Amino acid sequence: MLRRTRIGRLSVRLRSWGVFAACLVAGAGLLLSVTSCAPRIGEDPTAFKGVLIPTPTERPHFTLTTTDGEPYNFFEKTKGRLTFLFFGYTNCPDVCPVHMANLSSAIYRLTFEDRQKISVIFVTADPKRDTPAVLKKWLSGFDRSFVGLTGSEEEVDLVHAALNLGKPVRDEPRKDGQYAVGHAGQIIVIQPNDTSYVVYPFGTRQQDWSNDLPMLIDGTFRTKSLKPK
Amino acid sequence: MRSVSDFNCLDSDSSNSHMSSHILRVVNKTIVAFTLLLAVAACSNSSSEDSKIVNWKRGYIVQPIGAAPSVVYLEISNPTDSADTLLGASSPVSDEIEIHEEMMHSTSNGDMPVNMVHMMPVSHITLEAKSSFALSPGGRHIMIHNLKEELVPGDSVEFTLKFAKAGEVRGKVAVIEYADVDTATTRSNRSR
Repeated sequence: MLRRTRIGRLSVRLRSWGVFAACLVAGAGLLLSVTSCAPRIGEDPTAFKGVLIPTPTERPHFTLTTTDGEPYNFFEKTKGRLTFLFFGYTNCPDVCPVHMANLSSAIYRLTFEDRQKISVIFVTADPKRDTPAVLKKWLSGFDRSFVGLTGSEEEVDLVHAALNLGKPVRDEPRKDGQYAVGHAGQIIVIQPNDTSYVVYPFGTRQQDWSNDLPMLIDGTFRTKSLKPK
Repeated sequence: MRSVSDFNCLDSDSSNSHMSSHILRVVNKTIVAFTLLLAVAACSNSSSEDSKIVNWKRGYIVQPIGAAPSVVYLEISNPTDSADTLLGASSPVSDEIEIHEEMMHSTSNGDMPVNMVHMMPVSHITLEAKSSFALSPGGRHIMIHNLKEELVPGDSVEFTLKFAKAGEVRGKVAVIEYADVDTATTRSNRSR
Protein backbone atom coordinates (compact mmCIF):
# COMPACT_ATOMS: atom_id res chain seq x y z
CA MET A 1 0.00 0.00 0.00
CA LEU A 2 0.88 3.66 -0.01
CA ARG A 3 3.81 4.70 2.10
CA ARG A 4 2.47 7.83 3.76
CA THR A 5 4.25 10.55 5.61
CA ARG A 6 2.63 11.90 8.75
CA ILE A 7 1.30 15.00 6.95
CA GLY A 8 0.43 12.99 3.85
CA ARG A 9 -1.50 10.57 5.97
CA LEU A 10 -3.23 13.43 7.74
CA SER A 11 -4.31 15.01 4.47
CA VAL A 12 -5.44 11.66 3.12
CA ARG A 13 -7.35 11.19 6.35
CA LEU A 14 -8.88 14.65 6.12
CA ARG A 15 -9.90 14.04 2.53
CA SER A 16 -11.35 10.66 3.33
CA TRP A 17 -13.13 12.20 6.30
CA GLY A 18 -14.59 14.72 3.87
CA VAL A 19 -15.82 11.97 1.59
CA PHE A 20 -16.98 10.02 4.62
CA ALA A 21 -18.83 13.05 5.96
CA ALA A 22 -20.39 13.56 2.53
CA CYS A 23 -21.40 9.90 2.52
CA LEU A 24 -22.92 10.30 5.98
CA VAL A 25 -24.84 13.39 4.89
CA ALA A 26 -26.00 11.57 1.76
CA GLY A 27 -26.90 8.54 3.89
CA ALA A 28 -28.79 10.67 6.38
CA GLY A 29 -30.61 12.43 3.56
CA LEU A 30 -31.58 9.15 1.99
CA LEU A 31 -32.66 7.77 5.35
CA LEU A 32 -34.79 10.84 5.94
CA SER A 33 -36.38 10.55 2.52
CA VAL A 34 -37.00 6.83 3.11
CA THR A 35 -38.38 7.26 6.61
CA SER A 36 -40.47 10.27 5.67
CA CYS A 37 -42.07 8.24 2.90
CA ALA A 38 -42.37 5.05 4.96
CA PRO A 39 -45.40 5.69 7.16
CA ARG A 40 -48.43 5.38 4.94
CA ILE A 41 -51.82 6.72 5.85
CA GLY A 42 -53.28 4.74 8.72
CA GLU A 43 -49.96 3.06 9.49
CA ASP A 44 -48.54 3.67 12.96
CA PRO A 45 -44.77 4.17 12.73
CA THR A 46 -44.45 3.25 16.41
CA ALA A 47 -46.22 -0.09 15.85
CA PHE A 48 -44.44 -3.17 17.15
CA LYS A 49 -42.03 -4.55 14.51
CA GLY A 50 -41.32 -8.05 15.86
CA VAL A 51 -42.79 -11.15 14.20
CA LEU A 52 -45.16 -12.98 16.53
CA ILE A 53 -44.84 -16.74 16.95
CA PRO A 54 -48.37 -18.20 16.47
CA THR A 55 -47.92 -20.56 19.41
CA PRO A 56 -45.57 -19.08 22.05
CA THR A 57 -42.85 -21.47 23.18
CA GLU A 58 -41.14 -22.03 26.52
CA ARG A 59 -37.62 -20.95 27.36
CA PRO A 60 -35.54 -23.87 26.06
CA HIS A 61 -33.42 -26.15 28.24
CA PHE A 62 -29.93 -26.92 26.95
CA THR A 63 -26.34 -26.82 28.15
CA LEU A 64 -23.44 -25.71 25.94
CA THR A 65 -19.95 -24.38 26.67
CA THR A 66 -18.98 -20.72 27.18
CA THR A 67 -16.00 -19.07 25.53
CA ASP A 68 -14.19 -19.59 28.85
CA GLY A 69 -14.76 -23.33 28.62
CA GLU A 70 -17.40 -23.42 31.37
CA PRO A 71 -20.68 -25.35 31.03
CA TYR A 72 -23.63 -22.98 30.54
CA ASN A 73 -27.09 -24.17 31.51
CA PHE A 74 -29.11 -21.83 29.32
CA PHE A 75 -32.38 -22.09 31.23
CA GLU A 76 -30.85 -21.65 34.68
CA LYS A 77 -28.53 -18.81 33.64
CA THR A 78 -31.12 -16.77 31.77
CA LYS A 79 -34.45 -17.56 33.47
CA GLY A 80 -36.47 -14.50 34.44
CA ARG A 81 -34.44 -12.31 32.09
CA LEU A 82 -35.30 -10.68 28.78
CA THR A 83 -33.15 -12.87 26.53
CA PHE A 84 -32.06 -12.45 22.91
CA LEU A 85 -30.89 -15.73 21.33
CA PHE A 86 -29.15 -15.81 17.98
CA PHE A 87 -27.41 -18.51 15.93
CA GLY A 88 -24.70 -17.82 13.37
CA TYR A 89 -20.98 -18.04 12.65
CA THR A 90 -18.08 -15.62 12.77
CA ASN A 91 -16.83 -16.24 9.20
CA CYS A 92 -20.05 -14.62 8.03
CA PRO A 93 -19.36 -11.04 6.86
CA ASP A 94 -22.92 -9.97 6.18
CA VAL A 95 -26.00 -11.25 8.04
CA CYS A 96 -24.48 -12.23 11.42
CA PRO A 97 -22.39 -9.13 12.19
CA VAL A 98 -24.99 -6.70 10.77
CA HIS A 99 -27.81 -8.29 12.78
CA MET A 100 -25.65 -8.34 15.94
CA ALA A 101 -24.42 -4.78 15.42
CA ASN A 102 -27.96 -3.46 14.94
CA LEU A 103 -29.18 -5.12 18.14
CA SER A 104 -26.14 -4.13 20.18
CA SER A 105 -26.29 -0.52 18.94
CA ALA A 106 -29.92 -0.23 20.05
CA ILE A 107 -29.16 -1.89 23.41
CA TYR A 108 -26.26 0.50 23.90
CA ARG A 109 -28.66 3.46 23.64
CA LEU A 110 -30.84 2.13 26.49
CA THR A 111 -30.46 3.34 30.04
CA PHE A 112 -28.03 1.50 32.32
CA GLU A 113 -30.98 0.10 34.31
CA ASP A 114 -32.65 -1.31 31.21
CA ARG A 115 -29.41 -2.80 29.91
CA GLN A 116 -29.06 -4.78 33.15
CA LYS A 117 -32.33 -6.59 32.37
CA ILE A 118 -31.07 -8.01 29.07
CA SER A 119 -29.04 -11.10 28.18
CA VAL A 120 -27.74 -11.64 24.64
CA ILE A 121 -26.65 -15.19 23.81
CA PHE A 122 -24.93 -16.14 20.54
CA VAL A 123 -24.70 -19.85 19.68
CA THR A 124 -22.28 -20.74 16.91
CA ALA A 125 -23.58 -22.88 14.05
CA ASP A 126 -19.95 -23.53 13.04
CA PRO A 127 -18.15 -24.89 16.13
CA LYS A 128 -15.21 -26.29 14.13
CA ARG A 129 -13.96 -22.83 13.17
CA ASP A 130 -15.56 -20.88 16.00
CA THR A 131 -13.28 -22.00 18.78
CA PRO A 132 -13.94 -20.42 22.20
CA ALA A 133 -11.09 -17.94 21.57
CA VAL A 134 -12.38 -16.94 18.10
CA LEU A 135 -15.91 -16.59 19.41
CA LYS A 136 -14.84 -14.54 22.42
CA LYS A 137 -12.84 -12.10 20.31
CA TRP A 138 -15.69 -11.71 17.82
CA LEU A 139 -18.37 -11.08 20.47
CA SER A 140 -16.20 -8.57 22.31
CA GLY A 141 -16.35 -6.56 19.06
CA PHE A 142 -20.04 -5.94 19.86
CA ASP A 143 -20.41 -6.05 23.63
CA ARG A 144 -18.36 -7.81 26.28
CA SER A 145 -21.51 -8.79 28.14
CA PHE A 146 -22.72 -10.94 25.23
CA VAL A 147 -22.41 -14.66 25.94
CA GLY A 148 -20.94 -16.94 23.25
CA LEU A 149 -21.80 -20.64 23.35
CA THR A 150 -20.27 -23.55 21.52
CA GLY A 151 -20.14 -27.35 21.62
CA SER A 152 -19.78 -30.18 19.13
CA GLU A 153 -21.65 -29.91 15.81
CA GLU A 154 -24.08 -32.52 17.14
CA GLU A 155 -24.69 -30.51 20.31
CA VAL A 156 -25.39 -27.20 18.56
CA ASP A 157 -27.56 -29.01 15.97
CA LEU A 158 -29.65 -30.48 18.80
CA VAL A 159 -30.25 -26.97 20.16
CA HIS A 160 -31.35 -25.81 16.69
CA ALA A 161 -33.74 -28.77 16.49
CA ALA A 162 -35.12 -28.12 19.98
CA LEU A 163 -36.04 -24.60 18.87
CA ASN A 164 -37.56 -25.76 15.56
CA LEU A 165 -34.87 -23.88 13.65
CA GLY A 166 -33.96 -26.68 11.26
CA LYS A 167 -30.41 -27.99 10.87
CA PRO A 168 -27.48 -25.73 9.95
CA VAL A 169 -26.15 -26.45 6.44
CA ARG A 170 -22.35 -26.55 6.39
CA ASP A 171 -20.95 -26.43 2.85
CA GLU A 172 -18.02 -28.62 1.80
CA PRO A 173 -14.77 -26.72 2.48
CA ARG A 174 -13.10 -25.37 -0.67
CA LYS A 175 -9.40 -25.75 -1.47
CA ASP A 176 -8.63 -22.65 0.59
CA GLY A 177 -10.54 -24.11 3.54
CA GLN A 178 -13.36 -21.57 3.33
CA TYR A 179 -16.98 -22.63 3.52
CA ALA A 180 -20.31 -20.97 4.21
CA VAL A 181 -22.90 -22.10 6.73
CA GLY A 182 -26.64 -21.82 6.21
CA HIS A 183 -28.44 -21.06 9.43
CA ALA A 184 -31.55 -19.49 10.93
CA GLY A 185 -31.32 -15.72 10.55
CA GLN A 186 -33.78 -14.65 13.20
CA ILE A 187 -33.10 -13.42 16.71
CA ILE A 188 -35.40 -15.15 19.19
CA VAL A 189 -36.64 -13.12 22.15
CA ILE A 190 -37.59 -14.86 25.38
CA GLN A 191 -39.54 -12.83 27.92
CA PRO A 192 -38.89 -12.70 31.68
CA ASN A 193 -41.92 -15.03 32.11
CA ASP A 194 -39.79 -17.65 30.30
CA THR A 195 -42.01 -17.66 27.22
CA SER A 196 -41.02 -16.70 23.71
CA TYR A 197 -43.61 -14.82 21.69
CA VAL A 198 -41.59 -13.03 19.07
CA VAL A 199 -38.68 -13.29 16.63
CA TYR A 200 -36.78 -10.71 14.60
CA PRO A 201 -35.76 -11.83 11.09
CA PHE A 202 -32.68 -10.46 9.38
CA GLY A 203 -33.39 -6.99 8.04
CA THR A 204 -34.47 -5.59 11.41
CA ARG A 205 -33.01 -2.10 11.54
CA GLN A 206 -31.66 -0.16 14.48
CA GLN A 207 -34.71 2.11 14.51
CA ASP A 208 -36.95 -0.99 14.63
CA TRP A 209 -35.03 -2.32 17.65
CA SER A 210 -35.09 1.10 19.32
CA ASN A 211 -38.84 1.21 18.72
CA ASP A 212 -39.46 -2.28 20.12
CA LEU A 213 -36.96 -2.64 22.97
CA PRO A 214 -38.95 -0.53 25.48
CA MET A 215 -42.08 -2.60 24.70
CA LEU A 216 -40.12 -5.84 25.13
CA ILE A 217 -38.65 -4.59 28.42
CA ASP A 218 -41.98 -3.56 29.98
CA GLY A 219 -43.98 -6.33 28.29
CA THR A 220 -46.44 -3.93 26.64
CA PHE A 221 -45.66 -5.36 23.18
CA ARG A 222 -48.27 -8.06 23.83
CA THR A 223 -51.11 -5.56 23.91
CA LYS A 224 -49.64 -3.17 21.34
CA SER A 225 -48.89 -5.88 18.78
CA LEU A 226 -52.42 -7.24 19.04
CA LYS A 227 -54.03 -3.94 18.09
CA PRO A 228 -55.83 -4.08 14.77
CA LYS A 229 -53.64 -2.76 11.97
CA MET B 1 -9.68 2.47 -17.67
CA ARG B 2 -12.38 4.70 -16.28
CA SER B 3 -12.55 6.36 -12.98
CA VAL B 4 -15.55 7.15 -10.84
CA SER B 5 -14.18 9.26 -8.06
CA ASP B 6 -10.41 8.92 -8.32
CA PHE B 7 -9.40 11.90 -10.43
CA ASN B 8 -5.66 11.34 -10.03
CA CYS B 9 -5.70 9.01 -13.01
CA LEU B 10 -6.01 12.05 -15.29
CA ASP B 11 -2.29 12.56 -14.76
CA SER B 12 -1.50 9.51 -16.82
CA ASP B 13 -3.09 10.97 -20.00
CA SER B 14 -1.98 14.60 -19.78
CA SER B 15 1.48 14.53 -21.41
CA ASN B 16 1.89 14.88 -25.18
CA SER B 17 5.26 16.19 -26.41
CA HIS B 18 4.00 17.44 -29.83
CA MET B 19 1.46 19.95 -28.60
CA SER B 20 2.00 23.67 -29.01
CA SER B 21 2.10 25.74 -25.82
CA HIS B 22 -1.28 27.30 -26.71
CA ILE B 23 -2.95 23.97 -27.12
CA LEU B 24 -1.22 22.82 -23.96
CA ARG B 25 -2.65 25.80 -22.07
CA VAL B 26 -6.13 25.10 -23.37
CA VAL B 27 -5.72 21.42 -22.60
CA ASN B 28 -4.37 22.28 -19.17
CA LYS B 29 -7.34 24.53 -18.49
CA THR B 30 -9.64 21.81 -19.69
CA ILE B 31 -7.89 19.32 -17.45
CA VAL B 32 -8.11 21.68 -14.48
CA ALA B 33 -11.80 22.31 -15.18
CA PHE B 34 -12.46 18.63 -15.67
CA THR B 35 -10.50 17.75 -12.53
CA LEU B 36 -12.47 20.30 -10.55
CA LEU B 37 -15.68 18.92 -11.96
CA LEU B 38 -14.63 15.42 -10.98
CA ALA B 39 -13.45 16.69 -7.60
CA VAL B 40 -16.86 18.23 -6.98
CA ALA B 41 -18.47 15.01 -8.14
CA ALA B 42 -16.21 13.01 -5.82
CA CYS B 43 -16.82 15.30 -2.85
CA SER B 44 -20.55 15.24 -3.25
CA ASN B 45 -20.14 11.50 -3.73
CA SER B 46 -22.61 11.52 -6.58
CA SER B 47 -20.03 10.23 -9.10
CA SER B 48 -20.69 10.44 -12.81
CA GLU B 49 -24.36 9.60 -12.52
CA ASP B 50 -25.46 11.72 -15.45
CA SER B 51 -22.82 10.47 -17.84
CA LYS B 52 -23.61 7.51 -19.95
CA ILE B 53 -21.22 5.04 -18.44
CA VAL B 54 -21.58 2.23 -15.97
CA ASN B 55 -20.68 3.64 -12.58
CA TRP B 56 -20.89 2.95 -8.87
CA LYS B 57 -21.16 5.07 -5.77
CA ARG B 58 -21.80 5.00 -2.03
CA GLY B 59 -19.14 2.32 -1.56
CA TYR B 60 -18.32 1.17 1.97
CA ILE B 61 -15.87 -1.40 3.28
CA VAL B 62 -16.60 -2.62 6.78
CA GLN B 63 -13.95 -2.95 9.48
CA PRO B 64 -14.01 -6.68 10.31
CA ILE B 65 -14.69 -7.93 13.81
CA GLY B 66 -12.02 -10.20 15.27
CA ALA B 67 -10.49 -12.41 12.58
CA ALA B 68 -13.68 -12.39 10.50
CA PRO B 69 -13.73 -11.43 6.80
CA SER B 70 -14.69 -7.97 5.61
CA VAL B 71 -17.43 -6.91 3.23
CA VAL B 72 -18.08 -4.17 0.67
CA TYR B 73 -21.49 -2.64 -0.02
CA LEU B 74 -22.10 -0.21 -2.89
CA GLU B 75 -24.59 0.92 -5.52
CA ILE B 76 -24.08 0.23 -9.22
CA SER B 77 -25.92 1.90 -12.03
CA ASN B 78 -25.97 1.18 -15.73
CA PRO B 79 -27.37 4.22 -17.58
CA THR B 80 -26.42 2.78 -20.97
CA ASP B 81 -28.78 1.22 -23.49
CA SER B 82 -27.21 -2.21 -23.27
CA ALA B 83 -26.84 -4.78 -20.52
CA ASP B 84 -23.47 -5.31 -18.87
CA THR B 85 -22.08 -7.85 -16.43
CA LEU B 86 -20.21 -7.37 -13.17
CA LEU B 87 -17.40 -9.92 -13.29
CA GLY B 88 -15.46 -9.18 -10.13
CA ALA B 89 -13.68 -6.68 -7.94
CA SER B 90 -10.14 -5.88 -6.87
CA SER B 91 -8.44 -3.76 -4.25
CA PRO B 92 -4.92 -3.31 -2.89
CA VAL B 93 -6.17 -4.47 0.53
CA SER B 94 -6.68 -8.11 -0.47
CA ASP B 95 -6.14 -10.70 -3.20
CA GLU B 96 -9.19 -12.69 -2.12
CA ILE B 97 -12.29 -10.78 -3.17
CA GLU B 98 -15.50 -12.52 -4.23
CA ILE B 99 -19.06 -11.59 -5.14
CA HIS B 100 -21.54 -13.31 -2.84
CA GLU B 101 -25.26 -13.61 -2.66
CA GLU B 102 -27.25 -14.26 0.48
CA MET B 103 -29.93 -16.87 -0.23
CA MET B 104 -32.81 -16.20 2.12
CA HIS B 105 -36.00 -18.09 2.48
CA SER B 106 -38.66 -17.98 5.10
CA THR B 107 -40.30 -21.18 6.19
CA SER B 108 -42.33 -22.24 9.14
CA ASN B 109 -41.11 -25.14 11.23
CA GLY B 110 -43.99 -26.14 13.42
CA ASP B 111 -45.08 -22.76 14.66
CA MET B 112 -41.63 -21.19 14.53
CA PRO B 113 -41.23 -18.75 11.62
CA VAL B 114 -37.74 -19.59 10.34
CA ASN B 115 -35.75 -17.14 8.27
CA MET B 116 -32.95 -19.30 6.75
CA VAL B 117 -29.88 -17.50 5.41
CA HIS B 118 -27.11 -19.10 3.35
CA MET B 119 -24.30 -17.25 1.60
CA MET B 120 -23.18 -18.44 -1.86
CA PRO B 121 -20.40 -17.19 -4.14
CA VAL B 122 -21.67 -16.01 -7.54
CA SER B 123 -19.52 -15.74 -10.69
CA HIS B 124 -21.18 -12.58 -12.01
CA ILE B 125 -24.12 -10.21 -11.71
CA THR B 126 -26.06 -9.06 -14.75
CA LEU B 127 -26.89 -5.36 -15.04
CA GLU B 128 -29.86 -4.73 -17.27
CA ALA B 129 -29.81 -1.67 -19.53
CA LYS B 130 -30.86 1.51 -17.73
CA SER B 131 -30.95 -0.10 -14.32
CA SER B 132 -29.35 0.29 -10.95
CA PHE B 133 -29.09 -1.85 -7.89
CA ALA B 134 -27.43 -1.96 -4.51
CA LEU B 135 -25.12 -4.53 -3.02
CA SER B 136 -26.53 -4.35 0.48
CA PRO B 137 -26.98 -6.39 3.67
CA GLY B 138 -28.95 -9.59 3.22
CA GLY B 139 -28.74 -9.38 -0.58
CA ARG B 140 -25.52 -9.38 -2.56
CA HIS B 141 -22.18 -8.23 -1.23
CA ILE B 142 -18.48 -8.37 -1.99
CA MET B 143 -16.64 -10.52 0.54
CA ILE B 144 -13.01 -9.88 1.36
CA HIS B 145 -10.73 -12.46 2.94
CA ASN B 146 -7.20 -12.11 4.31
CA LEU B 147 -6.87 -8.36 4.55
CA LYS B 148 -3.30 -7.15 4.05
CA GLU B 149 -3.78 -4.14 6.29
CA GLU B 150 -5.93 -2.99 9.15
CA LEU B 151 -9.03 -1.07 8.10
CA VAL B 152 -9.52 2.09 10.14
CA PRO B 153 -12.96 3.76 10.11
CA GLY B 154 -12.64 7.20 8.52
CA ASP B 155 -10.01 6.00 6.06
CA SER B 156 -10.82 4.99 2.51
CA VAL B 157 -9.31 2.40 0.21
CA GLU B 158 -8.99 2.01 -3.56
CA PHE B 159 -11.59 -0.28 -5.05
CA THR B 160 -12.19 -1.42 -8.63
CA LEU B 161 -15.15 -3.16 -10.18
CA LYS B 162 -14.63 -5.11 -13.39
CA PHE B 163 -17.41 -5.20 -15.96
CA ALA B 164 -17.60 -7.24 -19.18
CA LYS B 165 -18.23 -4.16 -21.37
CA ALA B 166 -17.37 -1.11 -19.28
CA GLY B 167 -14.07 -2.64 -18.17
CA GLU B 168 -12.52 -1.54 -14.91
CA VAL B 169 -14.33 1.21 -13.03
CA ARG B 170 -12.20 2.54 -10.22
CA GLY B 171 -13.17 4.44 -7.11
CA LYS B 172 -12.78 4.48 -3.37
CA VAL B 173 -14.72 2.86 -0.58
CA ALA B 174 -14.95 4.46 2.86
CA VAL B 175 -14.12 2.33 5.89
CA ILE B 176 -17.02 2.13 8.35
CA GLU B 177 -17.93 0.06 11.40
CA TYR B 178 -20.63 -2.62 11.41
CA ALA B 179 -22.76 -0.42 13.68
CA ASP B 180 -22.93 2.15 10.85
CA VAL B 181 -23.87 -0.30 8.06
CA ASP B 182 -27.55 0.13 8.94
CA THR B 183 -27.61 3.83 8.12
CA ALA B 184 -24.95 3.74 5.37
CA THR B 185 -26.71 1.19 3.17
CA THR B 186 -30.13 1.03 1.62
CA ARG B 187 -32.47 -1.89 1.86
CA SER B 188 -31.63 -4.84 -0.32
CA ASN B 189 -32.69 -4.47 -3.93
CA ARG B 190 -32.76 -7.92 -5.36
CA SER B 191 -33.97 -7.15 -8.86
CA ARG B 192 -31.63 -8.31 -11.58
